[in-house]
Amino acid sequence: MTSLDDVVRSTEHRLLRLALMLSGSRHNAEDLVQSVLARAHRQWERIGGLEHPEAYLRTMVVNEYLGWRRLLKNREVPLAEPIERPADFDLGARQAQRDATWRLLTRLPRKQRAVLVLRYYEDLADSDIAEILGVSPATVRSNAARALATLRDHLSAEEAN
Amino acid sequence: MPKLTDDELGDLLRDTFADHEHLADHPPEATKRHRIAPVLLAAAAVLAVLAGALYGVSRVGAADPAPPAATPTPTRTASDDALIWTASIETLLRSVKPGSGAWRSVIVVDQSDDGTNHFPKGPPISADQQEMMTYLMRRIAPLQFREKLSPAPPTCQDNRVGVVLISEMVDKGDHVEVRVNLFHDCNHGSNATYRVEHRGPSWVVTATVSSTSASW
Repeated sequence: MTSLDDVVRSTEHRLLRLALMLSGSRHNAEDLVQSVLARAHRQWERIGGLEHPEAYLRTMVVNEYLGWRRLLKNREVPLAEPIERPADFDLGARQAQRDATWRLLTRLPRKQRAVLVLRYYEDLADSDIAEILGVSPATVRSNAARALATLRDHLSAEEAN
Repeated sequence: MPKLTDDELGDLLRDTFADHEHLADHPPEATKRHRIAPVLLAAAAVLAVLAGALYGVSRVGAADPAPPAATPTPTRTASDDALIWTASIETLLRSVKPGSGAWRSVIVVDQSDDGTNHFPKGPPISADQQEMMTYLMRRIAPLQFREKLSPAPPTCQDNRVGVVLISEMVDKGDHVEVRVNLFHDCNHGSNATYRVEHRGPSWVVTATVSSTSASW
């Protein structure tokens, strides 16, 4: 059986990055990963015997994020208003677009954001994402389509402004 | 402007995620928190004690983990960081007169992969941030970026060339602090730590926390 210490050492940073992409802030990410690791510790006899305990921890992080009511009610990152920039210079269109995208991600429903993170950050196939989220691949695709449509519309509106 | 396609949005999302990975690598100093593994060990110890204390006590369902203490949540973007560095560098450059005339060139050393020469590792400065800083500073000094301090920039051959190193930002909740080092004129050095605040559309230096200068 793999030891929890070994798995934590090898995956902690990766889990933290995944949690950051999901939650939008380092502090929330740390809280997410801590909660998951504390629960994993209690269940390690079972998890440690799995073929890929790292993948299981990743699924736990995603599910913790999706089920974290406290994060929504009390600890969600306050939505920053789009930062107004002086108009007399170009701030770098690509950078501005990425900043806007990061802000818009925080406004998506969490399942949609999770799908985008798993698809475009973790580079997982829709079938793998479906397994993690416990939904069908068709549901993954529809969540992704809705999320992309929202981003497309908002980015277009921001650029128009 | 035409709307982005799904593929273009996918590329944008990949870039956006990559752009923010550093947030997991470089926590703000003032809000740096415990590492997870030691906390896990501590949690294990607490759980062991609790398990003993609660042995035999029946419970209905499992309680949620106790909410961690609230901490300020930084929401700076990469553009914000570039604006903060620019404001800090500009303030120090304006306080130091180059050997003669205006700055001919100021070399900003990105020490994120270096951290040698007795200076702590600095923050990574992306190509887009460099582009932004260069544009914003164009009236003060032409900026150049390099990844290492050596070979020594030509501040002895040209007393209008400066070398700047910037520190990681220290997040203080309602403002940040940034330390800037400037070397110039062969054997002159100045450094300052600035308080930088978000004001209106941009960031401005509102106070000098500390400053020193030396010649050798």
